[in-house]
Amino acid sequence: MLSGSSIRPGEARPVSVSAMFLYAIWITILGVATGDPEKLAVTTILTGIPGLILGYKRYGILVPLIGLALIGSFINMVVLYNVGNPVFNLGPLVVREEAWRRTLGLSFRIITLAGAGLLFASTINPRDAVKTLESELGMPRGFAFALAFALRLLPLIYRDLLEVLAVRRMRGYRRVPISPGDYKSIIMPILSISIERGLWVGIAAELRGLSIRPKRRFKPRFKRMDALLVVLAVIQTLAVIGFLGL
Amino acid sequence: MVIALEAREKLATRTYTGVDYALLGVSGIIAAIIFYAAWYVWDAFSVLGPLGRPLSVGLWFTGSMIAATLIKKPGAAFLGETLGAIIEAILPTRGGFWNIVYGVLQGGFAELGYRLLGYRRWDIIAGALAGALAGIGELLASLLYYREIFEALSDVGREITETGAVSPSLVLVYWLIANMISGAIYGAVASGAVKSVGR
Repeated sequence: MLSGSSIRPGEARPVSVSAMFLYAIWITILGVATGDPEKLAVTTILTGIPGLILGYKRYGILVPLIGLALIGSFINMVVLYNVGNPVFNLGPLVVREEAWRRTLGLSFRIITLAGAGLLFASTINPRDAVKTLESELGMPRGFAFALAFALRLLPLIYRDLLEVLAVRRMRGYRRVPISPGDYKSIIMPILSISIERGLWVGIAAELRGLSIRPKRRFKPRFKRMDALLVVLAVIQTLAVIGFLGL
Repeated sequence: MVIALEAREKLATRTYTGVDYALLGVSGIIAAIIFYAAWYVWDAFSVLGPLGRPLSVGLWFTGSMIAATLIKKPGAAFLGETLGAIIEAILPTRGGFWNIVYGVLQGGFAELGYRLLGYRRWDIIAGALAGALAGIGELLASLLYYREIFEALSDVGREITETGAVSPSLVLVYWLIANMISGAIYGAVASGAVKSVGR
């Protein structure tokens, strides 16, 4: 007979949570390890852009923000490092080799890191992630409990926020908070309610034996699609360490 | 016997209970919401150029002070900042998983602030000190992430040095001071806010 506890987190997904987590972490490390635009182009194409495309559906707001960061990095480099041979003209501005190369390096890094994060966030449910981090990747139990509780609190805080805003409206305060006092009148009750909630949840968890609960440990079990992630990770690693002749 | 009791009491004040972990969760999610909003504040203030940095960067250090002021135990500042950063990465934001590196470094340096005070003070002063020290952690993580900009800045600085105007380390010093001032202000505000709700 199947019991609830025998179902492992993220069982129905094509890729395992552990593999996706480790992949996102590894690509993040690779993205920071080098500043060479040719090498980072590989991580951008294989992880960054697919991550942005997948993430656009759920986190569309992030994509223009990433665009803003790319513009910022271009302006920084043109202002600070516009030396070498001219590459192209942007109206009266001549963009030179070093500025362009460094803009590409930083931009590819921004896309790679954001893409890896979005790839993880858009394919994995946060609760599955927490369960897996604890049961398969060895995250300490107390910390995993805090993380799971924090994620559970998010919709509750949103509900509290709507209530506080409704009460403010009923009392005739302005709808859009402007002054620090406005923000204080919104933040303090939410903070107070959340702390009270945390206190009682903690007491309840302790009474139910949080500290003595036996720890469930699973060996990470990988799926067939995880092989694709391994292949992608190997290609990107080889590119970054220079084995692909880039 | 007295020594054993004292040791036991000390252990009890340092061991994390279910309530502490739940409060860590509360501080983590509040920190993550602040971190998430901080990206918009950061973009808004970036129109001011380098002057915008001290107005916004300290928001990313507040997870430590919220957790430490709430839990009042060793490790709380580090865990609170790290937890906030993990949630920020999961939510997600454009920093991706690198946010976790920022969280670990900022949390580690903020923890150092409370350690320097012997884990005896959890007030606004301690929050300001921890926030200021967290600025060092931010600088270290940024040195890795934005190293192209730092390299460019130091080369420009070197050129200007030859004319005798600015030294290359000036940019780094400005960045560090801006981080520390911003961290101290937001750290004090975060500690004060948590203290005022009565724990």
